[in-house]
Amino acid sequence: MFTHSPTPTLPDDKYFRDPNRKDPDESFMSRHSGKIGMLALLSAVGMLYSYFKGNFNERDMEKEVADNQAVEAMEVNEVRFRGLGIQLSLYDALVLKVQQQFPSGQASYTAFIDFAMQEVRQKSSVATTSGHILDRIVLKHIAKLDGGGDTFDTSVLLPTPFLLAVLNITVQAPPLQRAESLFNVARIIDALKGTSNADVDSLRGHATVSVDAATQIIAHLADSCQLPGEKQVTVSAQYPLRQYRKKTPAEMVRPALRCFSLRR
Amino acid sequence: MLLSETLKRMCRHADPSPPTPHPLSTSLQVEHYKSLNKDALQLDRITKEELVQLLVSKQICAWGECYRAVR
Repeated sequence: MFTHSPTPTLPDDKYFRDPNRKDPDESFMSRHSGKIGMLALLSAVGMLYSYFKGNFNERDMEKEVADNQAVEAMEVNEVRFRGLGIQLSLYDALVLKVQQQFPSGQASYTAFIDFAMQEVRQKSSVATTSGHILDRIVLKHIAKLDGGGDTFDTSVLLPTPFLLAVLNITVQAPPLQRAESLFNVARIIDALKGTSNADVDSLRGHATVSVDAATQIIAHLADSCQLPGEKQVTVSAQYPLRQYRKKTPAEMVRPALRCFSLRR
Repeated sequence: MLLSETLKRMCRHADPSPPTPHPLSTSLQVEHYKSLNKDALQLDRITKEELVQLLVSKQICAWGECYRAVR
């Protein structure tokens, strides 16, 4: 009447007692859940460590850049608002006169200061504080050129555009006008490189300056502590940990130009 | 002679009243620089306005305060 069906057989007791038995239906995730969990935990810890270590590296590099500067941003402001008191028109005139006085584009700091102060004294009276801050900037730059020694030879010839950029700290004008006043300095850089006529009258006629001259201006501003430290660092390596280094002036200019669609 | 020494000498003749600080740039000036036409650019050269804009861009931020001015 009924067809015969065999009785199902269960695995013997030995099978259940075997601690190394493998269930053929068990999934990979369930088989290696411990290892996967550990791996995920380690990855999360690694990523967090990398993130925070990268941030620390960035901060360390910014601090290094700031520590290598001769003066702090606050001191630069102090010069501007309580310092020499050079007016914008006077600075503009001085830039061209410096080019006339030092047509080679190089001057010692002492010669430059003697000339500049003589011109300033003729035109206006100046307040008498904070001159030592400018001295510190230039002397530190001289020491850096000398290989980081402690000798401050003020007879070393320095580029006049650098000295003018240093003197720009003292100009009492809003930032945009101060930036405008550096245009004549950029013209001088172009003239000294031979891309335009170095004659002062010719300088006035140039409506544009080269991007190289603008890059040089940025370099001089960085050397004279007028750029914030955090703008001067860039990522040098992403893996295994983010490392940072100081930017070159060209690296600062390029993204800015791209951002403002000035040049690609 | 260093600048600080020169200044000490000039101290006698200097005006004792401290110069008044200039106000920060006005928004009108900022708008002027923002509204510049960038189409008529030469390839390797930049104008005065473009140099100014470059210096006060957030990538360079000369003098720190410029970034606030054009943000």
